[in-house]
Amino acid sequence: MRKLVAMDNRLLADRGPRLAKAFLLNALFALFAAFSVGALAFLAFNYYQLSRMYAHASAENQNLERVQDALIELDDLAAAVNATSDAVFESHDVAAERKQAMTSAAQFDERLSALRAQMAASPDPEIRRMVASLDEVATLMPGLVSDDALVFEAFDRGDIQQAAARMTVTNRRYSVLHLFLRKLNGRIDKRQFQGFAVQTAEANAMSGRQNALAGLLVVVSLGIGIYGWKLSKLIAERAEAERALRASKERFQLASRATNDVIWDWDLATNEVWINEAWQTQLGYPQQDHMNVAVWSEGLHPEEAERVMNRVREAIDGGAQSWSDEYRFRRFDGTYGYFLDRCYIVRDETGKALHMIGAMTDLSHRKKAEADLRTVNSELEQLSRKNKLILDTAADGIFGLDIDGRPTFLNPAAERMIGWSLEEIAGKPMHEIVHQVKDGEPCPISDCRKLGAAASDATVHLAEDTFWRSDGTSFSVEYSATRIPSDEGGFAGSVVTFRDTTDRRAVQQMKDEFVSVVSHELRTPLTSIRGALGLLAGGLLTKSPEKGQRMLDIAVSNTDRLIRLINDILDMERIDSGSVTLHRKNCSVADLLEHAAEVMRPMADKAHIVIEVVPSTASNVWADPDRIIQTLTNLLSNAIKFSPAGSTVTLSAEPGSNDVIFRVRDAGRGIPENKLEAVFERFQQVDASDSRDKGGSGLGLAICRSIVHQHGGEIGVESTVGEGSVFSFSLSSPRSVPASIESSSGTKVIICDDEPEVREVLQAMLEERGYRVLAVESGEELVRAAKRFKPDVILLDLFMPGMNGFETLANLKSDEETAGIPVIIVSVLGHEEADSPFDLAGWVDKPLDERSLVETLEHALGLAGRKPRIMIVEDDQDLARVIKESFERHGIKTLHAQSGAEAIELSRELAPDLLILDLVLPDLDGFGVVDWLRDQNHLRHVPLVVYSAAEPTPQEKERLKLGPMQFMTKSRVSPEEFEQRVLQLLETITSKNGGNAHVA
Amino acid sequence: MSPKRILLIDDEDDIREVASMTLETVGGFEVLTAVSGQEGIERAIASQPDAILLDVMMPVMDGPATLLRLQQNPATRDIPVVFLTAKIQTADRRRLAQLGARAIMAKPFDPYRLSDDINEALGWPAASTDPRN
Repeated sequence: MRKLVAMDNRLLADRGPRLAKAFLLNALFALFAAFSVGALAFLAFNYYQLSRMYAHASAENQNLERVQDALIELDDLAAAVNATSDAVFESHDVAAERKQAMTSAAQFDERLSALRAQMAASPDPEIRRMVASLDEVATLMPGLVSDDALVFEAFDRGDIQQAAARMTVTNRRYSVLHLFLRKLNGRIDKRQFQGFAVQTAEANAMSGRQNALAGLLVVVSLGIGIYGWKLSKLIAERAEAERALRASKERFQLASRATNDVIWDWDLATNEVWINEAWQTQLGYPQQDHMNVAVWSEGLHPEEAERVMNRVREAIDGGAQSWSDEYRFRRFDGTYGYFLDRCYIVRDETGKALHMIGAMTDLSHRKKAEADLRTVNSELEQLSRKNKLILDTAADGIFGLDIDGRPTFLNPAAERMIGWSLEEIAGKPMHEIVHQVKDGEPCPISDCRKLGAAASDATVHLAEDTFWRSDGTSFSVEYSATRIPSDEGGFAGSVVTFRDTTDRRAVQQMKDEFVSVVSHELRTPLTSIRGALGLLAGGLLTKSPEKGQRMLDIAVSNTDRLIRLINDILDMERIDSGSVTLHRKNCSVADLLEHAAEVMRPMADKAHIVIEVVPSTASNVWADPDRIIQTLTNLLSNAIKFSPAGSTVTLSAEPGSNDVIFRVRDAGRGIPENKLEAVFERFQQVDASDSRDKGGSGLGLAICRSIVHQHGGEIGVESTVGEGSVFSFSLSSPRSVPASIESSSGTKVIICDDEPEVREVLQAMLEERGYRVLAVESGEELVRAAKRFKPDVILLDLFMPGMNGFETLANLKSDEETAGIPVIIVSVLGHEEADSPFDLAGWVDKPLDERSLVETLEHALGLAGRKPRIMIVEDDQDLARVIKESFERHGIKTLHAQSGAEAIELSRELAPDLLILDLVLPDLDGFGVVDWLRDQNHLRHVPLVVYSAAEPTPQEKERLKLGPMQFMTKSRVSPEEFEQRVLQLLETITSKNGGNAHVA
Repeated sequence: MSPKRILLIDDEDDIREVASMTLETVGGFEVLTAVSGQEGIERAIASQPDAILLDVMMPVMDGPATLLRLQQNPATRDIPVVFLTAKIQTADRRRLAQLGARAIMAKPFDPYRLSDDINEALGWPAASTDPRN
């Protein structure tokens, strides 16, 4: 029996590690719960913090204003000193003026030194640098005083001529001093406005980032909250499972002493087994004292019987003192239970086994409890892994401190931000690592409530502070510390979360300034509009029509100014945010220059300025022509505004190494050197009154810069004050455009021809039209390239060495990946002479006719391999829907544009195969749309159905000439007829699948 | 009683025109104008207006600088000054409020309230009749 008890103890012992793990999980849960509270508090305080920062930014601005005011005061005092030498000529009271000069000079010195101290103490290094200039100002004052004195002396002597001469010197010296002060004032102005350009872009980026951070924090907090709740539930379940196990254990102990276990004694000589009452009470078998061992062995689960019996035999034969096993055993009612069977083997002196005495314990309850516990444990482990993942991926730094303020863990964000890993700082108080200096003063650990010993004050919800990195630099943080309660009711340490707030502060300030300036720029024209219209609306001007008309004129011109400003702001934002897609083409430089000059000529004529276009040696650039013309006209418009009447503005372009440099030269007043960079910033003018005088929005050059940058070019200006300025920008020439056709969007063409000359000519023709071309010289190469580059169309020669054209075609069509690519045959063999077993997208005869090649290509791209597409340009939504539905029934795709501008926008993206056009549209009318289409190579032959309320006149019909046409009047044609006629038109086009059969 | 004389200093031509018409026709004031702080100070000294309506954002010498000069000059320091400005964000207002102007009025303004607001800010009796009637 003692042995049985010993076995029992062993069983209990293996529960030890499991309990330890449970304890650990307990601690972890507390930690995460604490973090969750901290994180939520952190988020809430974040928004409070924003308002504080705003106040801070305005205080800084006020400081600069105070400096400026002081500078003005200094200027006034200097003026006062200077004035005495003037005044003496009128007052003749030398003594009084001298006294006045001395007083003002003394005040000047006093103010100067006060200002110097103020500037020297400024947190802004730029302002501190200005102290040197201030010192130069200081050296000028004594000179002024002594000059004054000389005037007075001369006056005393009665030498008025000498006094007057001296006074001029005094005045000149004052001017120098005055200029110095003005310059300083200007530098401070500049300081205030600096960095304005980056603002929006960065503000936008940062605001996105900030929101993302806040979002992440919410997610992290939520996640932790949910897991904390789950964790507590799991812990409750585990406690329940443990209790069940303990109860089961107690039963076992009781039973082993009393009757709950089946106690048995197997006489190995007779195979007779004695059993106790439990055989009946626990297993339900009929009450009996003795049975054959076979009864027992038959009760074993069939799957286990052999194993159990083998082990019993091994124990008996192997001389073991005991045997034990766990097995499933059938109860009398036929159900199986889990049993632990342990026994002591009684042997005689020779070691022969006589008896086995043991006890069968029903483990069914314990088994279930164990299984439950296993499930709970694995869920806890999973949870702990997830929590670790949350810690690892959190954007905020998180570290744990023990009760003495030493770090217990750092998440990766914390390690990255402070530049230390846990290994490097383990065992040292965290305070000394990141918080040793506060506000420039050493911060003793005894003063530190949050990072010092956790046993100090209560939780710090959120604080602003400075942390230090391993490299000795510092950064501003927001952080919160939450203490971890220990089981005994005290504290086990704390968890600190922190976030670097440096960027956010800077961005907030930029954002505020930007909003303030834009608000002012918008309000200024609105003031005139509101005032003028208000007066008119009040009816006060009815008696004076010319005044009323004047007010209307003012309202109109200011409305235009406002529109210009808003367009420019939006344009700028669209370009900067990348939402404007460049429609790059190979454009002729000469065309760009001429076009831009043409647009600006009326303005130039008005200002009596000549625009001279220098003939360019540069041929082409790879650019969006609309945007480049916008840039050139912007630059020209500036040049015209600032040039004197009768002068010439020169527009030129020269080829660079692999780019083209555009230049706009004017003979205007020029730009001072210190403003050269600033002119490209938003709302920056050389003189603050420029925008008003010259009618600009203050954004023109900023937009030019954005456009040029988006093209990958550079823009700059050189200028000599008084002589003029040269604005220049660079654009890449087509040669540096994507060598591989993989990059960027656009139509991809592969040319396959063994003749290098043909390849060259074809490539040049197509590239000239903005196609992206890959040329290969054999069928084998083509098959490989087609799979890789997925071209939109293939141009294929028939007679080639190796795989010929038809073999290559068969190869392409048999592969699923390339079967859908339209193929155009380019051959000396005429279309009629050869018969292809495959669908061809077109046939172009050699020698090459450029027009037929391009048309065939465009046709193939438009119609090959897909369903026809109809664009409906109609502002009546209901009518558009009816038309759309009627064609979609035929499996025809439809696009709907509600205005002319939208129609153009849509056709840029998806070339339609047929256009249904209303003539009266909200913005650009039907004629405008047709004009635009005619200018597009691939759209100039699009079939057109004009569906308008009134029959167009013959002249109007002439203006609408495009591809094949149908005119239908809305009220005269029934919907059915309309549908039929459109379908017929569409069919005539799609059936003519051959390229040179294109309807022209 | 002769009409009150107001000096309007603003660098924007259109605003100057609209505001003076407003002040003349609605408020019944006599209006003088100046395009810059410098010109404003000279006119103030020479004509001694009853009040000055002063823009804030002006090139060379801005509103606050002009105000400072006016306050320093014995000839003009007693003339009440009212800012008329498009810089009306809280921070701007706070800054302007400390400079010693009698009031700060926002752009855009309602032409039928501007004169009343000026009268009220300066403690002048309201215009006896609404000129619209």
